[in-house]
Amino acid sequence: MATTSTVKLRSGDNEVFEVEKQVMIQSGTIRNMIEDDAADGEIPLQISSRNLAKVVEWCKCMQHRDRNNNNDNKEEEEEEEEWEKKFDEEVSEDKDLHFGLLLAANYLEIPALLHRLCQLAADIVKGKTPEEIRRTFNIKKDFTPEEEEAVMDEHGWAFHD
Amino acid sequence: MIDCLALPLVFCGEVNSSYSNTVRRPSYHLSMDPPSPADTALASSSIFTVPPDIMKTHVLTRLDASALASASCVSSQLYPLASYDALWTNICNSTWPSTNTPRLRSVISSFPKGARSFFSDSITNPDNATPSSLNLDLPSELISAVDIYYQDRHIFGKVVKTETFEGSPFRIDLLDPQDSVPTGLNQPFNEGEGSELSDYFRLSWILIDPIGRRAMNLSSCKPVTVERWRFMTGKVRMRYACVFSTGEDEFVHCEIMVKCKGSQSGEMHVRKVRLLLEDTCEKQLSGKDGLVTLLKGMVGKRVIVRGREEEAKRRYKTHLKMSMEKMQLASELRTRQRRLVEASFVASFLLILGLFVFVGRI
Repeated sequence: MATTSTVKLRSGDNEVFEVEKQVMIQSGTIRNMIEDDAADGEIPLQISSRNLAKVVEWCKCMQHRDRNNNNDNKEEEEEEEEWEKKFDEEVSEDKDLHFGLLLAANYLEIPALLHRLCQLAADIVKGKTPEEIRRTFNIKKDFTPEEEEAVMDEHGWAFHD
Repeated sequence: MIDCLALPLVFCGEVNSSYSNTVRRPSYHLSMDPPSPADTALASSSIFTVPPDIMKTHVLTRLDASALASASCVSSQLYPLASYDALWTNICNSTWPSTNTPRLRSVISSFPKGARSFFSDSITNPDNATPSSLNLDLPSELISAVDIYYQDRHIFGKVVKTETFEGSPFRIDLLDPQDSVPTGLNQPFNEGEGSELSDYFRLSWILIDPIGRRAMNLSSCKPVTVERWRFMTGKVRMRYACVFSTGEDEFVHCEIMVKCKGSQSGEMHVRKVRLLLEDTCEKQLSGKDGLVTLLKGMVGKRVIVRGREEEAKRRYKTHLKMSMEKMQLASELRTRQRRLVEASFVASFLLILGLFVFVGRI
């Protein structure tokens, strides 16, 4: 087993994050490396420092929450909820961060983070018209007029007032 | 679990697909380099950098039918992902739990666009039947998939196959006379709750033509009338209706009657669920006429059920009023005809009498 209690993660733009192993075992990828004694040196990750910092912050918050789960500390609970709410808002407003984190969560195998980000993406789509979705995610409409008419017709029931 | 391999990876040019599945362990060995990264993680990210299988299994599965339909219409890249049959099968099964049977799943998969076609068919009522000149192959059977909900809870689901339409009148009974299906609801309803029942009890009756691979919904979703017998017995009769046009001033009225009764233990049981068809004069349609009319309704113009409950109720009432007027008119006509016959009889009698008198004088 590894001797140190921390793990060093090097971001794609060469920033090193030293994080407690207990925090990073939420990542299946890192956990496997720790279990295989392959996490003693720096682990290079092609994830930008901005995204990696956010992932680490998220993992720390979740670990803190899980550790305090049995405590009945209302103040801390509220603080965590506030942090999560802010996280959701920040991610929802910044598509680059949102999808960057989603890829990172997938790559690092952090199911809870992946699910949360996917839920946020789904929540953004809900209640929007195709045009609003295009505008929100900056997607170009690439249907020919005939194709568009056909797909709108297929789903005509959904666009009924 | 959705089979992620069934669809071409339309975004795969942009991602390293070997890291796109969270369940899979990364394929590195101790002696080798650490796992290779998600290639795009350093570049700017957008929805297109999300691996298609993540989109399908984690994002699109969280959408309701309307949002999924919107997503389909966004771009040619999202269209095949949001059209994935398993997504729509899940939506069909959660919207109408009765559809989750092997037989129905196989019928649904035979629809032109699978579960997506079935869904768009089944959330619509017939509005205008097609012209009578249309030649239709009469199916040997029709399938009814019926679900009843109390508020948001599914309390009853049943599928029946109807094979013969020779008898008269056209009628589909979902339960045998001795059947009594528990709903899990307490026989409820304090006095004064009757009016609320019409908001709480929703019903869906999907009629499926497995040969023509079409379906439609024959229910108004919310009841058009609720009758309660003395509240202590817990007997409730609800009617759901769908009225559609079959020609100029001609309508067919599909009536679904649901009878519930409280059991001795106090639990509500469904005792009867029946579909009948009536024409404009409230005459019940015969088996074959009913079948042909329903098939024409299936092929014809549709109208969405959801959000139109009040409109369905209005149509039902208009239909009742029209039927009444038509029947009154018919009875007036009959009276007039009778009087005319009587008058002409008297006139002929007088004429003959006159003739006799005239001849007698001569």
